[in-house]
Amino acid sequence: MTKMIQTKNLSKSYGKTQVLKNIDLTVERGEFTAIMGPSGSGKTTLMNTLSTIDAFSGGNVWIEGNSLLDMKKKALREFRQKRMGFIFQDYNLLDTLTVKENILLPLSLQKTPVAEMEKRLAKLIDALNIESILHQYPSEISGGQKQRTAAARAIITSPAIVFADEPTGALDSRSATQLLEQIQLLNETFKTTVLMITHDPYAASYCQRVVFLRDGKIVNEMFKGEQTEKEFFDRILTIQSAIGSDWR
Amino acid sequence: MNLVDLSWRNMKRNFRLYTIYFISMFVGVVIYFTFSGLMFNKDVVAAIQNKENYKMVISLASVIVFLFIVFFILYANSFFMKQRKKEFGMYLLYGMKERQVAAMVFFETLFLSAISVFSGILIGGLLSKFFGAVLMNLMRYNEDISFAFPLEAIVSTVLLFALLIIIITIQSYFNVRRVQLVELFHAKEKRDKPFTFSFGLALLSIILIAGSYYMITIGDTDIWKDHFKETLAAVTVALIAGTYLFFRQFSGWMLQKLSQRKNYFIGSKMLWISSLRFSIRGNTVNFTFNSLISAIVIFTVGFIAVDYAVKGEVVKKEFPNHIAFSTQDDATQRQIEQLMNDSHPIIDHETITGIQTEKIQNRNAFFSHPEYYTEEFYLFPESQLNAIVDLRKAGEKADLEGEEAIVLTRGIDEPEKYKSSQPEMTVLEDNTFRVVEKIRYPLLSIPTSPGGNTQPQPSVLIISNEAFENLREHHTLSSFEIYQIEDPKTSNDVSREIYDLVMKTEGAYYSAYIDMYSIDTESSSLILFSVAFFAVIALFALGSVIYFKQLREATEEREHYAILRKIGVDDKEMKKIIRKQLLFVFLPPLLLGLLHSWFLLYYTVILVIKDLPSLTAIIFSVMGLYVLTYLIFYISSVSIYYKIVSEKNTR
Repeated sequence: MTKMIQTKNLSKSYGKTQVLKNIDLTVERGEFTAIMGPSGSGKTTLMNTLSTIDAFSGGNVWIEGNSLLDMKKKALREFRQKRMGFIFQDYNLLDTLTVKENILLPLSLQKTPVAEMEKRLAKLIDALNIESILHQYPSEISGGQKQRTAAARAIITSPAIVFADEPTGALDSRSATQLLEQIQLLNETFKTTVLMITHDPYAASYCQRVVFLRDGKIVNEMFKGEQTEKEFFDRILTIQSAIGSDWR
Repeated sequence: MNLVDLSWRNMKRNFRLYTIYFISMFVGVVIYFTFSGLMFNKDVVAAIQNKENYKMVISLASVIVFLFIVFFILYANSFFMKQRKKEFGMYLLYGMKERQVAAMVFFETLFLSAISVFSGILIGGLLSKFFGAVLMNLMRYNEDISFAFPLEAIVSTVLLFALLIIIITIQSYFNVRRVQLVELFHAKEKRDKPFTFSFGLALLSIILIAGSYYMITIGDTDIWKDHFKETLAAVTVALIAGTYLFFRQFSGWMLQKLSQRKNYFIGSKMLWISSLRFSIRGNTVNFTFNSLISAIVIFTVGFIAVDYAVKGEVVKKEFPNHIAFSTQDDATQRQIEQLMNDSHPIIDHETITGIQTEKIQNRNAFFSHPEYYTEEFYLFPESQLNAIVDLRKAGEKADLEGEEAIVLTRGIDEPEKYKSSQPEMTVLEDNTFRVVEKIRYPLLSIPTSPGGNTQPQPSVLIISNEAFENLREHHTLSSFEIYQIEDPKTSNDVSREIYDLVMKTEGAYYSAYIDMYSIDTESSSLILFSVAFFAVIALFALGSVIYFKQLREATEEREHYAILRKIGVDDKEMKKIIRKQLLFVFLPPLLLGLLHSWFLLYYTVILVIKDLPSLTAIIFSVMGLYVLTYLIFYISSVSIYYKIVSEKNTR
């Protein structure tokens, strides 16, 4: 079985500044991985290159065994639409659409039959606890509900991998915990691979694996294994302070 | 980097945004220059009979055109200022003074105006040949108009647009001063839910509109005749209310219906439909106003066209004598006939002889507007009237006895038969006549002159042949020569020559069909021509209100489209969404405006003027330009909308 993501000597420069330096990273199928790093460490750039939003300057990336270098622009876009889901810090919900419409939007754009849409939505409703807000507009719901809507939108296409960019960044701690638990649940139930960027050790402690990035290089990596979230959280904190620098 | 340099860079960078600004300015210059070019065009001025009147109407029209342009450009400018608020805010944040920012805007406006004034004058000069020809055609003159760039017109265009630049700069300065730095850091306001719409009100809007259309189609029935004011008020109110409800309720209801359909979720329908549903609140008044005013503007052109068409008919009725004047001595008489035969051969000739009375008091008994008639009456025997009726092959012969008499009136007086209480008139000291009838028959029309001056119409009393015979021995006779000539519409020059000959005698009577015809046709042509121009500018300005509003919304939607891009919507799909969304913005007001104006026009105007192809052509060109304007706005707004939403969000 092929790896979900595999990079070899992945590098990216903006002009003379090298943001990513020869990164070798492998993400297994079904893994829930966090990428942590201080600001400027290149974590967002890493995610953008992995998610095909941004081009890279050297090395190569394979997703499900497909080399990104060999894919045309159109194929990349289709791949992104069908095989990837995204959750952003600022939700990125369309405020003219209801919660339900927002969630179904990716399927709409792919012209999925309505019956199929409803079937997929039904599966998510319980897991994300969004039944009561389905017909409301984003302006009427809380931040946590918005982010759950965004998570549902990310996952409704049954993507192979979900990229989450600081998903808890704008949430209070209760909503953040709730969301993390739900992502965990989605990861377990639907076997969805999740790659999450965060600077928050608490959010990272819900992952099975944490990769530390600094100055465009992977500097450390740790697995949760059988540890509880609390134990894992403490270990992450230790490493974080060892790496130092400005954690935002 | 100095300010001029910065302005130049701004223009290069924001090229597309500046294009619309440039186009509005350019259209303004072209229209204004065409107008002032016509005012000073030597060929046109040479053909015009009443030059004073012409210059006055055209200069008045160009003032109105200019005011339109000022409004329009200020509107466009305020859009730009708002669009660039952030940019200005940044300049201020980095320590530029407000005056410096305003100066920068001034330089930009200067560049833009310089280019548009130069190219506008060029195109306007070329167009003035065409528009001059249209005007000449309306006035029925066969004058060839050459390309012209009259210096006076160039100077006035440049001066007025210099004034406009100053106004724009002042507006920009105030706009810059109003920029609050705080706004730079403000998030945009959140939207609410869309409205829900009532099926009843949606239906009502259709009923109201259809009802008013129906009322217009039955315009010749009794309900209009008996209760004109009430019916008109009801139809107007129904049309306004129906249009408002159409944009508020019907379109909302239809979008709501669309959003409940199964296939709503398939493709990008969801995106543009929901977006439109949210924009209904902001657009209703704008759209209602737009389609109603557009309809009124088009209708006005039609109305003026009818006026033009009818005036020609009225002149024909009121001036049945092509040329008529007080009888001259034999030599002059021969000279005049020679003049006519040289260019416009005589078809018929009759001499009528009557007696002039003293001033008659109390003419109210015979005329509803005595001030339009001379105080002296002319008495003619019935035989003379009957001879003229034969000559013209129009009118009814009279048969009078004893002291019976007929008063001749013109169009403003209603004809009347007096059965009992016949008014009496005593003339020439002690001759009393009983007026049995008042008829509309211009035996002697209003005295005219080729320059355009007119005098009160001679009052005429037709008396019986025997009464006239009794009077003629003791009184001085006045006779008049009445001519019908060939092709009277081109007899301007002949009329002028004959007028000069006849007027050598003080107080002589002279009246020519062509004199009145020229004045009337010239003035109504000018009015029609100017109104058609105003209409085009007004429709352009109205359309631009929708246009700029959409572009302003594009800025707010930027975030929306950024999200779509993130979740994998590609450029092609985005353009499709924008195209659909904007189509539903531009199409309904246009369609309703067209439909309104068509119903208003068809039953009141087109049926009246259908025999005059040049008039229907004008109305249809105005409607065509209306459609074209919206088409241009639509295409341009799709492209600029896309440009705006795909700009990198600088926040």
